[in-house]
Amino acid sequence: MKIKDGFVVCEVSGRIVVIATGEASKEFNGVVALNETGKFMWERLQKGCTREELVSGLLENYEATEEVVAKDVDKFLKIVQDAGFIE
Amino acid sequence: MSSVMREYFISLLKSSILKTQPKEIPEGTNFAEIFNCAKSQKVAALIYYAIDKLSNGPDVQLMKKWETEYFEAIRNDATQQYEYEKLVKNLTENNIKVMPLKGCIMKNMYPKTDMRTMCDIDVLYSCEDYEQVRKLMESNGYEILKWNKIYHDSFYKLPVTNVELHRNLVEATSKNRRYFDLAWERAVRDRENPNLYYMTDEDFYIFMVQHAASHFNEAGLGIRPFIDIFIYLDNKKQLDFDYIKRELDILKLTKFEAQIRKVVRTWFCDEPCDLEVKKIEEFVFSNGIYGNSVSAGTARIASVSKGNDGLFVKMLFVLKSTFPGRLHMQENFKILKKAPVLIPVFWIVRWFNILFFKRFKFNTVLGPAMKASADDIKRYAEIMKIFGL
Repeated sequence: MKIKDGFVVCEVSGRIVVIATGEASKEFNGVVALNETGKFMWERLQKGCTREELVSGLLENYEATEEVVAKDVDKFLKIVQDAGFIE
Repeated sequence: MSSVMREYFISLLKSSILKTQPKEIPEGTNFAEIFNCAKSQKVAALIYYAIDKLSNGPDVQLMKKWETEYFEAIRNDATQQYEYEKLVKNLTENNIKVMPLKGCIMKNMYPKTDMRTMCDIDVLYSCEDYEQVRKLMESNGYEILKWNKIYHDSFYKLPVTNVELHRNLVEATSKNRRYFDLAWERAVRDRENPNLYYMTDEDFYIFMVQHAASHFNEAGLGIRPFIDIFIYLDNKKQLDFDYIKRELDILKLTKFEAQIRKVVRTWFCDEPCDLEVKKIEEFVFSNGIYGNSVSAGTARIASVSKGNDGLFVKMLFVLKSTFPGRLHMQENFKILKKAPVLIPVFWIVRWFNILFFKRFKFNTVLGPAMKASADDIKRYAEIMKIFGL
């Protein structure tokens, strides 16, 4: 799975946001607000990864059970897929 | 806008900037009018921060519109900051000298950068080979809107990035052009990037004042320059005002700056409001952020007529517009720098362009100027006098 080209993560005024640049902005002209976990997942997805890699990556970096992490990853993936961010 | 409404509007601005609890909406005011005014003055996103804290805020529908302004400001801010950093890196790595201007610097002094919207990313630049810059911008996905102008070149990139690369700080026709031609000599170099320059704190302030005066002379003055000046002075408490005053005297902007500061102290520092501040406030609230076509026309007539009305004054304005001076012509037709004798020929070229390709100029300047009423002209001239311009 991979985020389409043209989406950029920025940190401005203490907020982590995703914006669409160039051609990507023709399909998406809004802004996505992320928390730290969301940023972690987004950046992994920008390079390309599987659901399992996201889960294991979060388990390595955050203190939470696998069940909770898997639930959050699935929720996040559904949002980004429904919004059309994934290739 | 009534004085009660204006007072409440300013209190909301103040609450947003100073991060205080806003007052609830008083009798005789309504959020719809406040929203419309905030939008035209490009401060809707800024005021949202106060509106969001109210117990009795706008209705759901209006609040949704306001939230849209707020989120658009966040999107635009993030996009512009991303593109600005890329732009500066690109230009300076290719040995092009760069000096950020206006909003690029001011943004970072606001409590949140998205509170200070920017229509354009403004940067002063200098290099040996301007064609190199054109190619660089095109290769970075920018569309060229204006090129090879003496004042600034304009570019656009999806979705919201407008860039103005300034070759000069002020237009050729500005009385203070020679002063601002020395901007590079006065600037300070960045410690890490040898092609990146900044104005000194004092010079940045002086340029802000000059820029506000230019806008006033062309079309009017909105609220934002006053907010910028308040925030700047609040952030930079150690300015050398002896130097500033000396330079403003040279630029003949001493009174203008003093009046701006007086308004700022009334609005944001609770100083009492006198008649001059009241008149400036009424004037400023009647303009959009940069004035509007009505005020643009009125400004042009008022600057020619010095407050007088009548057919003769309007004919004089038409004459000046039909046959503009050397500096204006050279700004738009570079060949005239080498061959000023061709100016009469290019008067005809200019009118051909306006008649067939730029008809909007009739609607935005000439039309409103001819329709400007005696009262409008007198009022504008009165504000000019208060400002010492």
